[in-house]
Amino acid sequence: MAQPVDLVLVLVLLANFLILGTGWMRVCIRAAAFQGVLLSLLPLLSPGEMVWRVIVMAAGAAIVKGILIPSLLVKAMRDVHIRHEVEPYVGFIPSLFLCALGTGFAILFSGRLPLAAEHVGTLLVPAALSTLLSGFLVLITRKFAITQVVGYLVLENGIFVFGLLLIEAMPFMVEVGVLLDLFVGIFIMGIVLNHIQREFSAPEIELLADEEE
Amino acid sequence: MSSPPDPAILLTGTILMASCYGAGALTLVLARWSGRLAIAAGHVAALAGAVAGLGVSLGVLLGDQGRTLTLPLPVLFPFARLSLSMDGLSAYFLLVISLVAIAAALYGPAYLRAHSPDAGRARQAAQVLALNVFLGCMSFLCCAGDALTFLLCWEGMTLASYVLVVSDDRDGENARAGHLYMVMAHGGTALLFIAFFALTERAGAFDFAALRAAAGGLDATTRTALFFLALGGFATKAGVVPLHVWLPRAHPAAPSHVSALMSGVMLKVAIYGILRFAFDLLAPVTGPLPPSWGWTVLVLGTTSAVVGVLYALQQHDLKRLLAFHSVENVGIILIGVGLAMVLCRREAAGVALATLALTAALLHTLNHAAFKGLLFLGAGSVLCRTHVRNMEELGGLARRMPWTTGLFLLGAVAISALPPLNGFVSEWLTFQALLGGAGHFHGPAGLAIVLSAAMLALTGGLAAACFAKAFGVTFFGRPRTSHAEHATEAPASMIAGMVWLGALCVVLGVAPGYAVRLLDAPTAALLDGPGASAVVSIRGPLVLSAELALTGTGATAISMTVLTALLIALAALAWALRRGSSGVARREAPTWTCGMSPTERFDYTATAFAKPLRLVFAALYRPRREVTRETAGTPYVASRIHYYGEVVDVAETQVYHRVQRGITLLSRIIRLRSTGRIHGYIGFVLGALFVALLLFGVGR
Amino acid sequence: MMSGEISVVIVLLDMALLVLIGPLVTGIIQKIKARLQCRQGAGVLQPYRDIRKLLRKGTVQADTASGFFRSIPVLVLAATVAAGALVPVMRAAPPVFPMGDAIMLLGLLALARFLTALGALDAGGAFGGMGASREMTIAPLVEPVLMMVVFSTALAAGTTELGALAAHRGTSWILSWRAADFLGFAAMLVLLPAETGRIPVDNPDTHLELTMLHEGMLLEHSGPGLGCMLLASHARQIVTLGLVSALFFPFGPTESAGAMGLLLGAGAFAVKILVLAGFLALVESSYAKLRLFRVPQYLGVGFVCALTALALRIL
Repeated sequence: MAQPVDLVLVLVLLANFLILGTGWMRVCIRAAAFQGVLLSLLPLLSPGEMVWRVIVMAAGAAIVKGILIPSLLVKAMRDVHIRHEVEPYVGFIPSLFLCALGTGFAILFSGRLPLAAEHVGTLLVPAALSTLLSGFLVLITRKFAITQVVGYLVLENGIFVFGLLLIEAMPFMVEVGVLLDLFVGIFIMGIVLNHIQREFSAPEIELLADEEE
Repeated sequence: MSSPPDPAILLTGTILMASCYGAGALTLVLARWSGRLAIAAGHVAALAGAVAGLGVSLGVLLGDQGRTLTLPLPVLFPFARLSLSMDGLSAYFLLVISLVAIAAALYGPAYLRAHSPDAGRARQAAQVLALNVFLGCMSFLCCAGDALTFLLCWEGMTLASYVLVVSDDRDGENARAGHLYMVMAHGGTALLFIAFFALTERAGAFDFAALRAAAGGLDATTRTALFFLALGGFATKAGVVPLHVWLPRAHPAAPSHVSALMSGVMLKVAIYGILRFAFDLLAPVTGPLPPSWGWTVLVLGTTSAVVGVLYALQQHDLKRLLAFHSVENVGIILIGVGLAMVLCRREAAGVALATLALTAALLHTLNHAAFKGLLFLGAGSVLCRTHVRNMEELGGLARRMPWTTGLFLLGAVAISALPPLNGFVSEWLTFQALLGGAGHFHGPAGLAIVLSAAMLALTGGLAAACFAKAFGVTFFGRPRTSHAEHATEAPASMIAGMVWLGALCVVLGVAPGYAVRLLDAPTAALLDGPGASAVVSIRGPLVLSAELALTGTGATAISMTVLTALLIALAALAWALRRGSSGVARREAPTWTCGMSPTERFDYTATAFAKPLRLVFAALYRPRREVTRETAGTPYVASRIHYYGEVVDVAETQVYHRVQRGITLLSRIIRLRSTGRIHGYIGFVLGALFVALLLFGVGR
Repeated sequence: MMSGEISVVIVLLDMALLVLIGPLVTGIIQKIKARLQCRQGAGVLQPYRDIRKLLRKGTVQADTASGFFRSIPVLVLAATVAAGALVPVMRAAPPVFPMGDAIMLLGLLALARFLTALGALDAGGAFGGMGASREMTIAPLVEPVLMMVVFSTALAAGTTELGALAAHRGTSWILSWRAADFLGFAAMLVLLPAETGRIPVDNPDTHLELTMLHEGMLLEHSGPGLGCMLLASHARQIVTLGLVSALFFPFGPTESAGAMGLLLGAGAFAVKILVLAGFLALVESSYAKLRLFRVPQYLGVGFVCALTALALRIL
């Protein structure tokens, strides 16, 4: 049916698995960025009027999620000289298992939801739920502050996918949602960078926080 | 089609079988004069009995379908008539028993002489007696026509196998294993007694026909409760996880041909019991079986398969490793049985799929009997020539025992579910049944079934790893001890027993379609549907197919025969390529060990081989490891390092040790109350009697 | 039900083709790798030269090896090539006479691997044991996931026979791909290096004992025996690639078409294999080999993909 959308959502799912399965923080960040860019492309793929605002929104989201935040994270990682390997509280394999289980349930659950006709049979709801779950898993099971940010990003991506369900019904709402999204993303970023600062109390982070302001 | 054999001939065969096993049991009289004679005569009788059993079972299976052969027995008890009744299912299990029994009877005499030449006559006589009783009880258990015969044979089977387990008592280990076996087996038997007597109470009679009629009137809850009681009893005997803890101790303790029988056959008798109860005695008159039955069996089977093979991987005792593989294979059989129970008596597609699943399970029953029997006999050959079961102390046997090595390899390939041998065939059928089931159900149930299939694939892979280890470490490399170094080939009669089972593995692997023909009667009878060959070999006996002609769904067909021919042709071609191209002579050189002179210490041990998987599955194994260093003077120079590693069964530590502690605690409390004076105890008895009478009175 | 059936000759032709171009694929992968590393690299025909040279050489056999040792290369080669007979190369239909399906194919590959591991243990010595132990650790973890990928495709078609699967998918496969196919393919891409013994799971180029799996098992083979083993590992690689192509991108005549159709099928197959080989070379050049105990984690990603594909297919 909506094949390109499904393909994008499959890639989103793969990014989830990669984030949970990789031991490298850099891969984690990149996967989250990749996921963000993919998602910002999604509104363009949805059938409907191609308003210029949608395009601008998509571009903005792609830049912020795909370039700005990740590059900040990478810079933060480099500056504070933390280890490049993810240290999980819960092992990689168990968290992957949990994610698989959750995705399975999400697929099962989405089959039972009273969705609009054009969303039945697509991956939208499972992908949204699965991404949310992955975000939570990263937040819960990983130790470092940077992975926490990645967790928030993924979580927020999941919410974004949910928003897409409403794109036909209320296009304006979605745009606002995207805006809100970005706002929340940057807000969270600020909070978490503060945490990083407290954790490491390194002057470089202060510089970074200044940049943010 | 052959003409149905005369029932009279079959009756004669049955009587012959009984008298042979009986005569075998009586040969212990001969032990007064000669132990050797007693052993020989006893095994000859067992062989004759097995051949008679084979004849009878083939007669029933190839003869008239759906006919039940009944034979009243002389009256032993005033309150019940004992009888035998044989339908397709009984005959099939009798066939399995007889096939392995033939090998065991061929193998036994030489093994007993070679393994324990100094054993007293009394012990040898006891072994011969117990072997014949064991075989007889198993055979007649499958043909039992009433509850009493069934239970008598069941108990006889347990007791005889107990005698065999403890008969080889060199150290206290076997006695302890026997003790555990006895306790677990009787726990299971108690459950069976409750299940059976709840039915006989209602029926007012013992024969199966009456029980079936009585079960028809049960309500759903009672029916399910009775099924789970029976399942508990049979699962204990079959060694289903978590009721398996006795199995890896008791099976290796018995003489090897008896281990082959216990693992290859006795577990199958429990499977027979489950099938008999689920599909025949307790099945509702109409409609499908309650879903909880089949799903429970499916989950238990999957768990047993994975857990069994995972623990097998960490064993160093060759026979114990094989015993854990029995847990695995019972699991695989139960996957098929469970699936058949879930699917049976639904619409046509379901019935055809159930037939496929049951065919897979029953075929695996036979296949497992063949290759597990073969492997135990092979391990027995190693044991009787080296007197060592720990494979770390073996190695290099391939040059010393070529026949045993080749036959063990055959068994190892078969049990690892690798083509072109029989293990692959039944696993392939199981896979097809699971896939069909998944397609049939869709939804979460379908996903569960597919996951079960994935677990089955994992099991197959792990089994291959396990046997690469067991076979490689035992037979290849250099001998690690003088036991292994001075080993010689086993006697011819032992080889003959193994060749028989090895040939079975090959035949069942290369031309399984003919074996499927034997499954027509049992599958048709149990499922009220088409017979096995109507589902599995509709395109002729050389092709296995999973296409359900009834519904037009699924169309996978393979031909083991064609593939084997292709393999042989390709191997011949490769051999020629290799032979023809090189004109330079072959020369020998030491194994490469980076320039050091190689010793047996360079070879990989079983512990080392299994270490990566031990670490990967550490969450389940929870391996214990102690390393102590003895240092000489400074802490930098280690003079000696002691390593101790162990993997203990989680079921044992988590369940049984707790139960044991509870019982110990309880008995301590009781002990506080016991004074040691006889008067007090009699007082307790009186009190108990009074309470019992009171309860009885209130009950009225 | 079945659109058409293909004669035995074509099946054997497929098999022969796979064996013959197996070394070429390895050569191409090596060449691409060399170019990516800014090296000239050996010619793409180098694997053929290696095998020819080995077949002419004499054999040096370990003095501790048993009589089974000599037959192992032959059996391994036979099993792998027989697996090749089950892969539809120039066709997209089942053969006239059923031979085997995807499960049989995986079984035959497992048989080859099992025998290779036994051969490694035969001579004794630590390297063979190490290689065998590691190979037999990875294999049971790869096999179930591979089986799940096969199931996820087979569930849609109702069969595990590769030709019939291909026929079911038809040549218009790219239009019929659904989310489950994408995920299954992703799982397959994760598994591909593991099954073909390449980085990041195994390193085919080194003989350093700490990094190798498959090479460790070949250490004691020499001369024609080693030649057979090498040929078998080339065949194994192309059979695995062929499995991917049959499961996901079948192309070819569905009936006993003329030579034209077969040629077209063969050409399409070559393109597909080239693309997959390029993928393998790219992965090999851009990643480092994983530590052995990181491999389960790597395969875990594949497992999750396969499981999700199955869930999508069935729920």
